[in-house]
Amino acid sequence: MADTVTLLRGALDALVLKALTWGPTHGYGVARWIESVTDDALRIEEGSLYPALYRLERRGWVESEWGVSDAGRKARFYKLTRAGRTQLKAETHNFTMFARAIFKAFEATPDVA
Amino acid sequence: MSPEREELRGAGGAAWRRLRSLFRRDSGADVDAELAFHLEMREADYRARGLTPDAAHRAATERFGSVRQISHECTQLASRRERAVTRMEQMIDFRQDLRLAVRSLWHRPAFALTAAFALALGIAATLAVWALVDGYLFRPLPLREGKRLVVVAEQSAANTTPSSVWYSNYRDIKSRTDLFDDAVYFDNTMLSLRVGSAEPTVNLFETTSGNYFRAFGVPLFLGRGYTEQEETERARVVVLTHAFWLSRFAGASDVIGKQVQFNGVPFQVIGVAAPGYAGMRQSLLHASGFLPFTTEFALTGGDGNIPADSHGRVAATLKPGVTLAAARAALVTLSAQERQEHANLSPGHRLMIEWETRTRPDIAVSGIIPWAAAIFLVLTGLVLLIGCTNVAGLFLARASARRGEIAVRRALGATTGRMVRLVVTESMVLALLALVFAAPLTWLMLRSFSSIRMETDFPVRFSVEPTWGLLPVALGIAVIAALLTSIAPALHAARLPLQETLKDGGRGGSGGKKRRVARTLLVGAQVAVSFVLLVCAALFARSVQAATTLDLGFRPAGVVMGTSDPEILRYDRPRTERFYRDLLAQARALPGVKSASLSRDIPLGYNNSSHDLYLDHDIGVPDNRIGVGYNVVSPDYFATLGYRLLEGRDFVVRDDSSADRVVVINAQMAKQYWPGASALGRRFRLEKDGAWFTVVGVVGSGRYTFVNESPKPYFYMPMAQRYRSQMTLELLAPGNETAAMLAIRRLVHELDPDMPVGDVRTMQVHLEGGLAFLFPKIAAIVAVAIGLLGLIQAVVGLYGVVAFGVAERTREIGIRIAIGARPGDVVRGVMREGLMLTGVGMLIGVIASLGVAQLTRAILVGVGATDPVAYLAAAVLLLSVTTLAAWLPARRAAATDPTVALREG
Repeated sequence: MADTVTLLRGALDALVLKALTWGPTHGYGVARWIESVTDDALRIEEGSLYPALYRLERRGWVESEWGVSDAGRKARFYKLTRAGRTQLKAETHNFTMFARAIFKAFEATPDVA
Repeated sequence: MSPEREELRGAGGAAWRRLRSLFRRDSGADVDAELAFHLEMREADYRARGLTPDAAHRAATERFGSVRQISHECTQLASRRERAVTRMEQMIDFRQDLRLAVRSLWHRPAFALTAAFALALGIAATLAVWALVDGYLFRPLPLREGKRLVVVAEQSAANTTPSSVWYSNYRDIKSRTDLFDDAVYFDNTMLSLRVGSAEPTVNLFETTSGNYFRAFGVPLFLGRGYTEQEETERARVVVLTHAFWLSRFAGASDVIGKQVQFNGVPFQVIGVAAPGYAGMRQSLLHASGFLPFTTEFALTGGDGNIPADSHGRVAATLKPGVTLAAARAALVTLSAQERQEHANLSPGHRLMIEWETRTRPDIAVSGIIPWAAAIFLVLTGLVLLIGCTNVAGLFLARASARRGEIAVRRALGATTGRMVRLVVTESMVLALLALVFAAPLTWLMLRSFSSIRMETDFPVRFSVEPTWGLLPVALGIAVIAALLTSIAPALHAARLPLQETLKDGGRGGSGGKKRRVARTLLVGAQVAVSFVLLVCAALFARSVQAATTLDLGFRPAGVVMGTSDPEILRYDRPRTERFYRDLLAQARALPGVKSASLSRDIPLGYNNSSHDLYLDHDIGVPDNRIGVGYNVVSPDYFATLGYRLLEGRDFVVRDDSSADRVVVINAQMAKQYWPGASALGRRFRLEKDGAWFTVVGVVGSGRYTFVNESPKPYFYMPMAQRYRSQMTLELLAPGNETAAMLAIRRLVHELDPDMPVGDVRTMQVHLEGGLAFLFPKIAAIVAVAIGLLGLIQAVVGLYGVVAFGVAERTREIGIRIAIGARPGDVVRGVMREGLMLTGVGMLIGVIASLGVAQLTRAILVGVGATDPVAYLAAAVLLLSVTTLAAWLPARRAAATDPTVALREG
């Protein structure tokens, strides 16, 4: 079970980083982006975005600061750092490899339920 | 707006606030606000899709997950990040502080250089003294076993000054393998050395037991050391020191196997010691080389067997795990055993032991060295302190120029802590800059100290090499200096009243008063400390002067001397006696010579003899045996040196080896052992059942070993009754000293062209340059240097304060002149301020000096710690110099053009 969680966590981190490549946005913006690009197929618990963001910030992959949202509300904006970009590249590569391996494994099975 | 102001705004303004808001957050509240925003946005979204507010809220919450749990998780993460960020924030701050500090110093080069130089003086002085202390007290000899080295010396009831050890006792010590891994027997000797066909020179060599190289790990540069077998075989081998090899063999690598002549006997060079090693006593004497001690006896006329009365110095390697205290206790027991076994030991004989590093420069005077080190470190510390207060004063003075800037900073939200940090950073940068200046200064000070040469043929040296090991110490001193410097300005920066400064646009107003009080206090303190330093310097200088005018029991003026030793040329006793008889006769015939004599020892010289003797009456000690110092002299010795003959007669030519044995004693001995009646005709023996010696004369007591010794018994034997090969010729030739010195060399060489004659000098030079006054002299040199440094610092400080006060009051002075004040009035007004400062400082200084000077009592000779002359001299010097320092700005103030002053003010 733990593996799944870490896998998910890793995937989520990568997604969050990816979301920020379009420019700084708040947590809700990140959630909306994931929602739109995955056609809402990835129904994550949105709350888990936040620990992910905090973790990323601690690692120095994103930076945050309070700003004002379009609606004129105070919100915390996240921005991808240079280190974050590098990390995203590595993650993407890892992920593609991983996904390929999984696909291969599934293709090998005769009956796909 | 200056670039610096821009910088400021960056530091204290919007950006700063943004940074703070970014990092400094109350994590819990922040997280909740962030999550709430998300939920609200999501709800708004759902409502926009047509859900009721209630349903929207439920859906949003459901989609979000457990708010409480996530909030908790995030808060945890945030607070951990908080710590990391605080560190980072500090880093950012520090980098900024550093940039600001460097910039603000860069913009005022004159200020920066003056301040750095003031600090550099103090740092360099402290560092130089530290290097001396380290070199003399802490740094072990550069031997493999240097850290474990102990020195063993002998004391007796009559002679409490630690002295050399009998060879038999050395054997006992060496056999104590439970305490020592090994023990080495060594001594110094002067030998005539001839390399090739060059003129022979007399050099100092260390003679040692054969285990020396192996046991202590003497570092070698070329060849090898000698062995125990070579000691036994009395092998004619020598190991040269690196410095000597460079000077006499020009560093030729084929020196190994070369022949040299010692006292005319061929020896083979077998090794060269590593650079930096010049023997066991290199803190004072630099040896030219090393040879087995058994061969030395062959060289000086003996048969090479170890004489029964042979004694030398002993050093040993303390066994790992054995403490010095344990070794001490064991030696007490051993001494008791030795007293039982060897009847010929002095009464009260005991062995003492001490770390080698604590026995420098000589075990006899080592007790005062730590004292002296502590005193001088304190003194240089005071110089550094004055430097720091000086720079603090400069900072305060500058603070008034920067009030506006500081106020703006405060207004923009820079915290007090930040302001203080800024001041400290600036001091640190300054101290580092000072360190750069201090390095060459330190080197210069050490060089000038090492260049002190004693007026003697004996190779007395004080060399202290600066090493990289000083760097951490230097950094430490610099950091301490920076912190000391920043105390006052930091307090000032922390307390700056904000509104007031902004109101008067950063111009000096009534706030200046407080600052002036602070600066005044600083200068008062400087003058006080400087006074203390000057008093110490004056005390040491007086000490040297007093030491040279002490009643030594003899009259040094007009006496010249030279030393010979015919044994070096392998003269036998009759030939030696003939040589001295001729020499004395010809010396007496010299024009301008009033009186001439010969003696074995010179008062306050390197050689001091003492002997046990058995008195002719009961004094309540076993065998009535006492140990007393003595000298062997020719007739006329007392007249030549000016000892007063109190009773009886001087020696005469008749007192020869066929006559009755006679002695002359000093008044102290007469008083101590034959009190209440004349000592003339009283007797003692030198051996238990030996011949009786009869007292035929009593002369005035003097000082024989150290200038500050307490009066001690002393006696003289005629040279015709006690043969010694090495003798010193003394001539009393007042007004003809130079001619007499040339004559000594000429007479000796007329008698034998090969005869070495050394230490030709006047008695004055011997006293001033010799070991006797060495200590007070060095102390005086260092103390005077320190005192002058302190004076320079105090004067700079005072000048700065007065000049600044004048600059601040230009307007006021201008008005005064405009309404008719005469220049004289202005000068007096300004001077009064400066001199008030000096006066108050000196008053405090007098009290402080009385305290500090008590410390110096231990190492002062012939002068009290409250010597009024020293105090007066210090006061006069300080007053005259500070008057000048106050007068210069005062004169400038008097020349103020009122119109300009008013316009500017």
